[in-house]
Amino acid sequence: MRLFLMALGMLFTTLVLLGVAGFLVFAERRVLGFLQNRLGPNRLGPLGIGQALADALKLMSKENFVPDFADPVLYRAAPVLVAFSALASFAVVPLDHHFSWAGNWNIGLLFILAMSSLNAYGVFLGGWASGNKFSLLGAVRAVAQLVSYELPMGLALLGVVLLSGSLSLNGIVAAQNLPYIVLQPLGFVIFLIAGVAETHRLPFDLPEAESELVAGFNTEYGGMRFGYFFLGEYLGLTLIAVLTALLYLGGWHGPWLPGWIWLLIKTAAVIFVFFWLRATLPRPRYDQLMALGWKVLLPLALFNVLATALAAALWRLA
Amino acid sequence: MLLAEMLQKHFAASPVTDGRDGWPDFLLPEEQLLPAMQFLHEQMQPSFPMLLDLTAVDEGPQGDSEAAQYTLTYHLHGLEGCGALRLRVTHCDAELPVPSITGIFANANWYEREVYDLFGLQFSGHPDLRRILLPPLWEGHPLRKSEAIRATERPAYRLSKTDLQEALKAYSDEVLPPESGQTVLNVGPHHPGTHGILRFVLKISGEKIASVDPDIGYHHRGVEKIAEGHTFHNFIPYTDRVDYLGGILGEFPYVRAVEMLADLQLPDRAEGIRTLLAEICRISSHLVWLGSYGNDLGTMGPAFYAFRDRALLLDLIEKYTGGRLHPQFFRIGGVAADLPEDWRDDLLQVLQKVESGLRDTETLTVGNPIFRARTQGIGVLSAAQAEKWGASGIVLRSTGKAWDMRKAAPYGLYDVLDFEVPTSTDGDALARTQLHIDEIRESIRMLRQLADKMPDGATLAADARYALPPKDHTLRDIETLIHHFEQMAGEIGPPAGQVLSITESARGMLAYYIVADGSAHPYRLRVRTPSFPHVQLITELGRDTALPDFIATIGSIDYVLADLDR
Repeated sequence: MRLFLMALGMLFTTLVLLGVAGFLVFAERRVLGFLQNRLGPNRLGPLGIGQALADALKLMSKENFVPDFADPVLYRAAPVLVAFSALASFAVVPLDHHFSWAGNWNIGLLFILAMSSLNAYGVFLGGWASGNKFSLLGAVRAVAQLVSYELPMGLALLGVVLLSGSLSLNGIVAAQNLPYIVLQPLGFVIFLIAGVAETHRLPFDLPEAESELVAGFNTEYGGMRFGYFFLGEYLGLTLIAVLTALLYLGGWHGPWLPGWIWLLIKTAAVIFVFFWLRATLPRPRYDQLMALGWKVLLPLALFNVLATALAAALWRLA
Repeated sequence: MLLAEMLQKHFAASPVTDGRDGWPDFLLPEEQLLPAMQFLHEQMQPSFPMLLDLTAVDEGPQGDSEAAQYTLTYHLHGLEGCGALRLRVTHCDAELPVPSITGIFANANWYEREVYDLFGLQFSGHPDLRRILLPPLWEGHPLRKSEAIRATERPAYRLSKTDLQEALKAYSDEVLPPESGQTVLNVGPHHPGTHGILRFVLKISGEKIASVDPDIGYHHRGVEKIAEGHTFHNFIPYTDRVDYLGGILGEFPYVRAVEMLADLQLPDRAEGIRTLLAEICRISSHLVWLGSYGNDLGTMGPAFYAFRDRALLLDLIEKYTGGRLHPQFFRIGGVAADLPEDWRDDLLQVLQKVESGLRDTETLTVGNPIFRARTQGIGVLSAAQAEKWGASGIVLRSTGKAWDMRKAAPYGLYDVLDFEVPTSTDGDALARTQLHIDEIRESIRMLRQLADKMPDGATLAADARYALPPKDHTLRDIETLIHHFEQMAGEIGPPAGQVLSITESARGMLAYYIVADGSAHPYRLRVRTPSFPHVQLITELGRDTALPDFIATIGSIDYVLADLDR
């Protein structure tokens, strides 16, 4: 009975997350429209909210097509891997102090980093298995970009871990008497930039780079397989946003309102920033992106870790 | 005249007098072509650095011979030094090759390929003589007079399966030597970065581009052949569509060419209205470029802001002319109608909005550090390169040459307007972006001046023999009625002669070369578009770049696909 309830609960969580991703696609289109002097989809349902459903239905009803020249097994597996790794990461994300699947897990952050690496595999394999030159170029870019930005991201997180003394997300939030954005401003900025790169969204959407690589690693994908990639991207976006809220913005801490509402508000604010970036910025060149990762963010992140450790040690002495 | 003496003395050139445009015009013996070109390009003072255009005319059978005789027409341009120069070479036997001038003018490469493609003339010494606009499987050479003008006069076209497979081979790696370590990347025909159907065959290793071969002709509609089947007036709508973003700017050189043939004097108001509409179209075309170039670099914003302002301009054009993109508003001898009564207020209002909108677009593009990092030092062109490839417009001006036909040989009302020709010496993509913005500002200035000093008067020339007769006059006097009838029925055309009319379109030097034989149809009509040399230039400029820079480079070289292929 317990197992059955758990399975039911997991199914429900997954469905909610899928709903969130679908809603975000719609929200992004409306927000971009608002930022770009146009309307965005506003026909179906109040404010056009039915668009999310219509998009999902359209993708699901399309033919599941595998091109002749693709590697059939990997081509099918890659999108699933992407969606899975994004979904699984949410297991350790708490909505509130007592409301999570594994928010207390003492390797929560490590698990998220591991899943994000798995996500990189999905993207790479998708591009590789498509048998298309544009896809391949996109895939190569994706791997290089994800690897280079995982390092500064991990190092930025280390600052948070040093301060809170915990790898579980519950523990980290509990330790934030003061939101860590105040104690870790540099770490916050590095994490946010690396987060944009990890989710490969504009301005760091080089694996897709529409005007150069057509659609990059997912050029050959259509229908629901493309939908999985899309899902993975928007879930990744949500994940980075909710992590930013949990790790740096004090999670569910906040006056008057219930904790989970605070978390939602903070997450939504971060997501809006992501949309805003996309509406405004051009895409840097590939080598410029790499230079930023290795020559700027990585040294800064290292410095951040050292400074945090030193400050914490001095604090303890005093 | 020194030039004439030199050419006559050393190269046995004989002057020709049927030109109506006032340019020096000589007939050269074929064997003197190469030495004369060499001389004009290298030794002549002032020299002719640029091959403006190269084309041919099918003269039909001459004398006793059965076979057609061809005239090759070379237009050179001296830019600041002196104006254009026309050289003609009579070529009697289509089986024998013409000497190629690619060794002297690099951009003759594509022009000679085009003549080969459309006229079937061979060129000896050409490095890469193959079809350019038509598919390799095409049979026949459409600009020959022996070819039918209408598609319905030909049997239906069928592509056999083996032919198709043969054609598709050009898309694969099979064209490469296997040991080169390179691979073929087809950027296009359907690619978001090419702004339309155009294929760049890139040989790449990694993301590094070893060679670029543009494959053009996907938009080829045979405008030049179509013209031969139309009366002079009938053809005006096609000229809008040659460069579909320029609209009115495409009509300008054509109607001017016919007016030069007929020696028509236009009333000032007609010139004023033409200039007004041309500048509005220039702004609208530049705005499209700005928006889509932002898109090339991955920023979505500028496109929407630029298109918002462009919609205002299109509304304005619609109010003045009835059309939006392709108003077909010019007539031979003037314009179709006078401006509406409140045109001035509307214009000034729209200009103010466009000006403030432009500030936003500027901030989002040249004001953005990532945009600058993507464009600074990318696609750098030198003045010598620009001349060598026949570049004009902003591409040429970005290399420091203040060459603008509106200043150099003013037409319309440009001689009374006060405006600058913005230039830059950087020659890179950023400079070209900035120049587009600066030119919009200059156009706004010009439009404000026009709002002040638009002349009064008639909108059509009084000479109803060649100009479009005003409709209300046709109802009053028989003379005008007869001319109106004869013109509309395709009975009369301008007097025989040749003319080259060059204007500054949004992309550069847009020229119409018309050979008239006195009939109601052009005997030969040649459209020299700026996009054609610009895309040819990419073969050199795109080499040794990486893929992202390649997209940033081709985007910054202003071209429109329909303008490229005609």
